[in-house]
Amino acid sequence: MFSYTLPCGGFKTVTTMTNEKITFDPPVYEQRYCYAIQILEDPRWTKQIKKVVEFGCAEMRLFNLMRRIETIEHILQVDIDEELLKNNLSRVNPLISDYIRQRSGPLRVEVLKGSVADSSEELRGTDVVIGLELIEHVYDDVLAKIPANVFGFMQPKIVIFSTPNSDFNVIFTRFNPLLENGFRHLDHKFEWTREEFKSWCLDIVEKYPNYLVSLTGVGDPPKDFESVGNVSQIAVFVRKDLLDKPLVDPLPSKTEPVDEFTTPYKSLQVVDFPYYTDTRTVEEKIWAEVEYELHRCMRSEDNFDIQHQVYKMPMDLLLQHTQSFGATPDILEKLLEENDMKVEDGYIILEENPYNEEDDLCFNNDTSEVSYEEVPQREDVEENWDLV
Amino acid sequence: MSDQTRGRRRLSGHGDDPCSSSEQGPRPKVFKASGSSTAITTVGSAPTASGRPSGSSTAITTVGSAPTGSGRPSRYDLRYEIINTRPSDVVTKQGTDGMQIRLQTNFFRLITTPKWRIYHYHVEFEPDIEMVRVRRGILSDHSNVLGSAFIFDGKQLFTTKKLEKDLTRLQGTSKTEINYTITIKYVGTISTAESRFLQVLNLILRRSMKGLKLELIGRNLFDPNAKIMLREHHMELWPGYETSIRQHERDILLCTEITHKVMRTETVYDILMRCINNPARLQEDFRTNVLGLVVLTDYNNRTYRINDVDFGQTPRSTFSCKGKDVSFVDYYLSKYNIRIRDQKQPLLISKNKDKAQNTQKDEMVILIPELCRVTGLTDNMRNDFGLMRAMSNHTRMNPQRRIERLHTFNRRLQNTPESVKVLTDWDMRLEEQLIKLNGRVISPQKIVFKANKVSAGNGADWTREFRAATMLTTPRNGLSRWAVIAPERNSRELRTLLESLMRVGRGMGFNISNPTELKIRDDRTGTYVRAMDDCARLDPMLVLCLVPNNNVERYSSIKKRGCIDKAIPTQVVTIRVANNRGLMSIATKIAIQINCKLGYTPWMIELPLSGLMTVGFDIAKCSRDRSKAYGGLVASMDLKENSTFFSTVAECSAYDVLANNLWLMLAKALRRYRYEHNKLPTRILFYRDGVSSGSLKQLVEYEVKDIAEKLKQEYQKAGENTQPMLAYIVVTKSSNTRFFTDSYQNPPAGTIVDDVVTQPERFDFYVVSQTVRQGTVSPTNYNVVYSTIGLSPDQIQKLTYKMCHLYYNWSGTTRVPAVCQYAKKLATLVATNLHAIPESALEKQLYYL
Repeated sequence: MFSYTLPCGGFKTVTTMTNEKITFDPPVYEQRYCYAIQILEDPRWTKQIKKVVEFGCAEMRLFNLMRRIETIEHILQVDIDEELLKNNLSRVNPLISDYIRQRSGPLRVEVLKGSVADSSEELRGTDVVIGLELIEHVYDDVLAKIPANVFGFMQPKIVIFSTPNSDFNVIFTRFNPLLENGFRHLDHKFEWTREEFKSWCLDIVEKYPNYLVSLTGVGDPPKDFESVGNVSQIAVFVRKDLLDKPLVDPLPSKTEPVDEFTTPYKSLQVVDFPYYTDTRTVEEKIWAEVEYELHRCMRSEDNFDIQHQVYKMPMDLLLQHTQSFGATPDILEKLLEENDMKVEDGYIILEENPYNEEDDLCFNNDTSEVSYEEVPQREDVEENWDLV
Repeated sequence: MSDQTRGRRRLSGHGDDPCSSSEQGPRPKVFKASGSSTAITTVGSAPTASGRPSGSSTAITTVGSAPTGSGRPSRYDLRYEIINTRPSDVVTKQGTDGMQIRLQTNFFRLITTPKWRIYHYHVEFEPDIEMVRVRRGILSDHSNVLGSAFIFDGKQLFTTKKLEKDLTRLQGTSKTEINYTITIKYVGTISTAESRFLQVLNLILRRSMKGLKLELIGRNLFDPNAKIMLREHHMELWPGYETSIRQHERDILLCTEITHKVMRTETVYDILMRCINNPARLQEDFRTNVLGLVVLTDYNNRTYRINDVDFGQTPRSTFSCKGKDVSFVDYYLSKYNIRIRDQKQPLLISKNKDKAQNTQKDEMVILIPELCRVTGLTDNMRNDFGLMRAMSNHTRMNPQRRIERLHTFNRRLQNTPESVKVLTDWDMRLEEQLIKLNGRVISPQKIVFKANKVSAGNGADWTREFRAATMLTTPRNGLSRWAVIAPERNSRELRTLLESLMRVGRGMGFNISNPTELKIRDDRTGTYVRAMDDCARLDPMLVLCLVPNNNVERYSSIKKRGCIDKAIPTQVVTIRVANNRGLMSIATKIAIQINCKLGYTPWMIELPLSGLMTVGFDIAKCSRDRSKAYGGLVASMDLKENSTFFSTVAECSAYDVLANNLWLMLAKALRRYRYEHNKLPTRILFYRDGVSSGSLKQLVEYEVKDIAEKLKQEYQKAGENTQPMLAYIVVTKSSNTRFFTDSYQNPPAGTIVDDVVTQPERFDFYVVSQTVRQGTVSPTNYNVVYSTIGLSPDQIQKLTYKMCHLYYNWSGTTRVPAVCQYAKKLATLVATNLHAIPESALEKQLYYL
């Protein structure tokens, strides 16, 4: 066991209980997502996290948050319910704005139909495994295979599991009875007390001594009922090398064959997010901005010097607008000179574009004197459509 | 306990999260209003002031699914509506005159067998199922019976394969292990004249395009991976395709137009940062820069129009979300893992009047400048020659290149197995070659000057000929009494300008005398206006103002003084013009404009028909108040002996389909005609521009009927013993249809197409009325929605082409009939500069040129 604390030291949540109901702010599911994201973004290891597998991803809501982390390069969304995945496939597509403001690094998303108990090839090389409110939905046979698959086969750096805390149910039953199966949800196969979950976790770290586990939770108990614990309990497993501790067992080799009884995953969708590595030099970037600023300047009549019939752009304004790109007075001066721009008394002098008025787009601008050409006229009879 | 299961899975029953299907990804914008008021804050919706997500979160998309049998037609559906506007007595819409020309088009044929039909079935479930998604799920298990090509909207089923029996019963089981009986009952086939036919076709098209890996933005598909970056303009151009499929004259055709989407890389926050160097004017500057902009948010694919800015709030402010107060900072962090960097920026307000999104009218959506990406071009940008040139360098395509791109598109579809499979499943095949057809070229028209007639030539341009011609009519004593206002320091430029004007005037038979000169000390707007008041006492025929630059405020003030208060035509010229090398050709243009503004005529055409009044109508949106618009109506008073026009303008609602003041305007024109000719016109040819595609039906049902009825009454009242003869023609400039010659050139001006790519339910034709030197020419579409005019298709087509020769700002043909071009120009002047109705004393002068 070790004690993991979020880099932010935990977040502010409010649990309010009245005679009628209990509310959590933010909602518990949001707290879970937020917790998982904070772990992924923990500066201690965030740079070492490239591949994340989420089991039981359902509607793929967590994906929407994970995909904003620019250093993650590979996200696997795994669920056993193929139809549910198919109905939500569009959620892993990039948005239009993702093509405009592109990521700085690649991101591949794979949506896979498969079981958390199966050691499919796609799972190799995973850095983080996430399974939120997953284990309570599986029958014993599957549950029994999870540790071997995750900790034995995948051996990621971090594993996050969450599951309901049945100690908390006494609070819920103040308002509503549990469902007919005795749980919070019809599909739950069990709900564990904190002790039960802890012992499951401790069994794992005993069998897989490369890992340390920290138990925590989200959804704080209401005031004066602290003893029931959190609504949802969370186990964070961290591989010892991540905490600068020596590993007990060697890590698996990449070529170790998978269990022959395992069912391979079915790939439903693979999406590559657009990304762009800007290879321009700082000066090139600044110059592109300068061009933009100069162009804008010429769009406003306010910048037109009537006397000299030129547009003027103040140098200090240009500097102000390009500073964030690293511009300094020296760099600007150098770039303007290189590009043959005229600078006078702190202003950049811009000659206007050749005259072009609205209708000139279709007006013949040919000013050369052209002799009058007689266009041969056909001798046709003048038409008359009037009825005589 | 819903909090515990939120974000979880596998709810009992069919209780799939109702909002999950309508969240992300480019989607059609139509939502059925939902009866449920359980507001669920969906991912993908922005927080709203009322705490409700924008757009109905429990929405069911109606489009992209299938035509709804009973659902009221949404705006989106209107696009697929087939409106029969062909007047019933039209025997043929094809003309025969002119020289035959072989043309290629941007259409591909979809080949079907002669027996190809779309069959319509009605589907019922026993016991009944409410959720459409569940109904679809259960039915999709029966693809062994139905095949893979069917469209099912929950009730109606469409397929090209006829089932063995007219009544089919199937057994199905839901995930919750309830057994259902499915009854599929044959209703009939769908005729090609039905709107549903069009809807089904477009759904098939959309499915077949899915495999192309293109992004759907609005209605069109774009390829962001092939984008062109214009860094110096903070812009990107995304190449794409605009496609539509429908039953044309003989076949089902796929129209494909190559387009480009302008994407701006700036956020609204970048605009804010630009305003910050002037703190005193920050709020005002920012407002003027962002109000009316359409933005795309970073966290969903929706677009919003910015209606207001709230400087009193910041992202730290809270809004009510599911009964709790949440700050915008926290909201975006928890919903999207997006961190708002500047927590002091103001907030944007969108009243989302997007008619396509059936949201509550007063609903407001609050947006964060940092997360809003600006889309589209502002008027300012459109007027930016440098920018437009930079863009057109990338987007302009000559016919050759366009045809190549069309073939590339075709190959892309043919080589995408998914796409081909969709078409094959529906028993369709896309032809590889572009559709070819025969057009006709109307011979060049004659331009009538005072002493001579010249042919407009094959290029439909008489600029050269014009230089040696005398204008048809000019004031008897020329421009004898007029005034100029110019800054004192620009005396030299004024002299140059006046000399040039007099010189070119003499050449055109237009005598320009020395004006009264008013020298002003400064170039302030007020100074110009005072000077105008001073010279108004001289009762000038025209006032020319020499101004230092194109300042909009000054221009507007001068125009207002002239058009509204004093009824004096004005000519505004910038000093730059006087300094320009091309001054002579510009002076020619100014002299013609002045002559027109006085009410005289540079040239006319030969019109083989007497008693004809042609009318043009167009709309421009008010620059100040986007809910307002102005409609301009311009009518020819005489085209036989002279060519003069009557112009009038009225305010109308920007959202109203009907131009509500239309009849009043037309009545004014009729009275004027009667005053000049002692009788009402024998024939009226009405060109109606400014009709959006979705409003054709209403136009035909209300506006046209109303005008025809009122016209009849007017003729009776006037004691005319004849019925008015009217043709009502809807003009569409922005058609996607393109024509190319066999030798990969633009077709010549005067090319008419009235077959193959026209629509069977319409009396429509295309006219290529302009010659373009660069890029591809756009033909204009004319749809005759009403006709008692008693002219043959040949005559209507020819008249239309003739009418494109009368726009006096340009010595060549225009894309639309001159009366439409004038109406547009007039409406635009009023909507952007005057914001009030001009003095009626000017109605017989083209004062707005």
